[in-house]
Amino acid sequence: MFSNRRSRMKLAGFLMVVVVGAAAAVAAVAGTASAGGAGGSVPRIVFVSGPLTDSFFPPLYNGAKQAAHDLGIKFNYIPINEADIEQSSAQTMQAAIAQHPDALVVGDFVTPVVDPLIKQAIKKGIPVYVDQSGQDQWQADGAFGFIGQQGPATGQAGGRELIKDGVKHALCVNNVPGNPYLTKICMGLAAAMKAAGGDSVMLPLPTADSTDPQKVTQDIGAFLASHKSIQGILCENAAVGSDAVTAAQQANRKVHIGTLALSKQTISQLQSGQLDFLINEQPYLDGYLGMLFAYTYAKYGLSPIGAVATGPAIVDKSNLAKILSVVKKYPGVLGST
Amino acid sequence: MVSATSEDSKMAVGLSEADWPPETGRRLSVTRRFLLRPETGGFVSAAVVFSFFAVVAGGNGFLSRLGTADWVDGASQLGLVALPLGLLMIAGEFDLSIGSVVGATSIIVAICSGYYSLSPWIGIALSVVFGILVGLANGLITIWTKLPSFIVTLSSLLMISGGALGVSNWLTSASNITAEPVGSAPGVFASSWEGFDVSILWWLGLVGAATYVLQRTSFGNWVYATGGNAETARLAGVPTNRVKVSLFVATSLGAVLAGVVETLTFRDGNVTLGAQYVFTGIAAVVIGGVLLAGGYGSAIGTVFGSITYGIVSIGVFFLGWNADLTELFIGVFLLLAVVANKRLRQMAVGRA
Amino acid sequence: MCKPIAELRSVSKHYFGVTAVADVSLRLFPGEALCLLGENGAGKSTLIKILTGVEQPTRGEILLDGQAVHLASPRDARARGVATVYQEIGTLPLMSVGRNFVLGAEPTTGRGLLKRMDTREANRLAIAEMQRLGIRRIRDGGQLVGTLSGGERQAVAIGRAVHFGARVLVLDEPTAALGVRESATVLSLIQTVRRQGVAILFITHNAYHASLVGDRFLIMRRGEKLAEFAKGEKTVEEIMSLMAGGDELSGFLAD
Repeated sequence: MFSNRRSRMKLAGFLMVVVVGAAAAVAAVAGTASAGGAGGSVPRIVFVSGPLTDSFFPPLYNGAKQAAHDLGIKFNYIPINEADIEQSSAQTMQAAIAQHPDALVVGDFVTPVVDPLIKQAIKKGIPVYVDQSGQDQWQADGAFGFIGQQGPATGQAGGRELIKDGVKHALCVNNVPGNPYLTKICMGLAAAMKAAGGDSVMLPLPTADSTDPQKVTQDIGAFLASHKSIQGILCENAAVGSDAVTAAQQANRKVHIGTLALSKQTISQLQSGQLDFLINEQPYLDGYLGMLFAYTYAKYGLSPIGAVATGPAIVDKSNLAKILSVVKKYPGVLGST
Repeated sequence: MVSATSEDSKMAVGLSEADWPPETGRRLSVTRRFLLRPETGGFVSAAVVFSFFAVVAGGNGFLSRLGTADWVDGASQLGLVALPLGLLMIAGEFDLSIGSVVGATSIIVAICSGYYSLSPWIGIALSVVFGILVGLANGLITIWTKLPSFIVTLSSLLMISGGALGVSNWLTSASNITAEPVGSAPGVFASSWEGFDVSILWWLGLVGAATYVLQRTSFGNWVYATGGNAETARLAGVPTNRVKVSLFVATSLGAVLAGVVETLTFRDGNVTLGAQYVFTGIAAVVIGGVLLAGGYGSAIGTVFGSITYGIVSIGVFFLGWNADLTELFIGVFLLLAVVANKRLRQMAVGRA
Repeated sequence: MCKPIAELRSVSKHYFGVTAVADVSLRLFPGEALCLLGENGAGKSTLIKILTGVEQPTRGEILLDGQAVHLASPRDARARGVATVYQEIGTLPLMSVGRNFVLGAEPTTGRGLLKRMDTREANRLAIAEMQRLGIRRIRDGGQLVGTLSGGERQAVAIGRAVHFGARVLVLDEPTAALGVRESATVLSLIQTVRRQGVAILFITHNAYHASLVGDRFLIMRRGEKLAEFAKGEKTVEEIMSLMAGGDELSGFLAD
């Protein structure tokens, strides 16, 4: 049949590997009939949240990882792909549900897509804890709690800082338009500005651009050029904050800039005065406490009631020193390096 | 100039000597011929990655109904785009604009049904017209300018995604629009049964039609010839321009269909929807056995390529490995799949 | 000999100040092979492009069966029975023998929407024609052309042209890239086809191959006809010397 006995043997060997693999797969399925439900003593928690390429999420992931390590949890972090956020949100949630973990922690970024899936998970008996995004939906979805911060409160904190600097016309840069939390931040800023007799406007960045510093700098620079009255900018993640500083420098504009989230660059920009303040959402707590409360709920049925606020905490020149020492001693906790 | 010896001709089309059986003049056995079919490699890739994830992640839900539905749905949506793209690549051309047509379609459908509260069918009809126009533009410009289709469709990719964002902002001041799907359209495109989307049926139906056209019609013969050597085909009387333009239109319409399905499924319109297909679509086509240089491949191959990618991109979610390296793992698995593919071919040929 | 089946009369071709062909006439008779010889740049390619409808002559006429014709495109030429077999782009290596054979004129069965290509008929036709040309090794029409030898591939291309009614077969350097054995295959194919009454125009720069199959010879140099003679009137060495501009060369060496 084959011209070469050796090649026939090799081919047979190759096919055998494939067949054995398939057989093992069948055995694996048959053997783990209890692929769902409380898998014995070690709790399994699946955490669906943002990608590690977005500067906000590495501290969150590190917090969750640390909690898993400290509490002895079998932990699976599934990152959502921001470049194709709707489909990825659906696929990651579906994968999480299919694993039938003891608890599911999820960042509800694209609410029309994720809310029905949260409900589906709960119907299947998986307790869901909403983390970082989903402030308004978690209760209606049936989740047992929420941890993170409220958009309006964060925006207002930012507004207060800008107003302290004498800003009357502010810009809010939204790098994930469609995410209600980030939109609410801008609304909170607007409310604070209005109350102080000023105003603010929102610039939505295309999601695909938001991880490209060049694109972001260009987008912000273009906006500054066409809106000469802007005196202050609030950004919603560290990378965008740094890009705003660059954009203002390139446009030669004196603007007060503050941003959410810490990073090596924003901290040094705060030190040098290029940034006026940082809003620390403390994502490490979102990750660590998210895992912790999911664990206590899954195991004992205990968790904090309602929404737990992990921020906003303001970092400015007054508490910078303490922050710096933590960054030095514990990299990955306060922001991407 | 390329010589007429068989070895050099094979090299010219991007295959190495190891991919072809030696010229002994003896008829190849049925098994060998089966193993040398263009889609067999794609099938092996799919089987290898499936076996891997089944063994390692099967106990963690990968083999459950919901887990299977997860990757099958993903494969079907990718498949809708990869199928006509595969035919276009067999004919020797590329289309990078698919990445923006899906997003533009979602903007059109979402604005019509969400912002203006019209029936979704109106948005769908407009998207079909849009897709046809994009395909015609891609095809005709490629033919008239004689530029590589890679370049022409790269510019249309940029123009369409910029244009879609501009139109969206102009009409609704937003780049993300909720669609309110009412009426029969969502049922036709976005319904699902036990987690399995109706897009799977669309996909398999179109695969059947494409296979029939490729293997059993004159037009199919022309597609292979145009990709093998457009000059030879033209001199033989094949209307290569007509073939190429038709396939550009088909590819755009595939992207439109994917866009309609996704918009009605997620009830959301976004310019960035489907941007990944530029890469994943071509990956699925190549894993499925279509040569980058064209002239060889099959429709069923793109099915296996889409399945392979679907399994790998969803399977990683079940591994529980370090999340920093998710993309790395996907890349590694795809590479392994392609290597297994090539290895099998070499063994089947008897040169290993 | 009877009337010529194809004729080029005083054909010239100018491109932007370059004269590729200057006032060349040739005649092709059924069952006869005319060898068109010359070095690179002699104008052979341009001349056959005119005969096969790829280019239009600047001056002169083309006659088929004694009638002046205008060949607008290669398709037009093929429809009138002038077929060309090229050096390396004649067949598609990744497609089967059968599919290559019927490309552009696929046999169909069924009607309307169910009209499909009849692959079995295509394969049968291909194998039958190849057998007729003396190629016995190929028995499976589904075999990929890429697995055929160079000579066998030319057989597919030639068989195809003859089957679809070529009365004039133009062969553009068919042996240029082939080894000795393959060249012998192609040359014997040419003999077979010639015996079937087809007029052959065989372009080559290999005087030896030409001498094996040619009935008449036409040597071009720098766009002009340098010499025209019948079989036996000149030796191979004389032919090679004429092609290389022998008189001029010996003039150089004499110094």
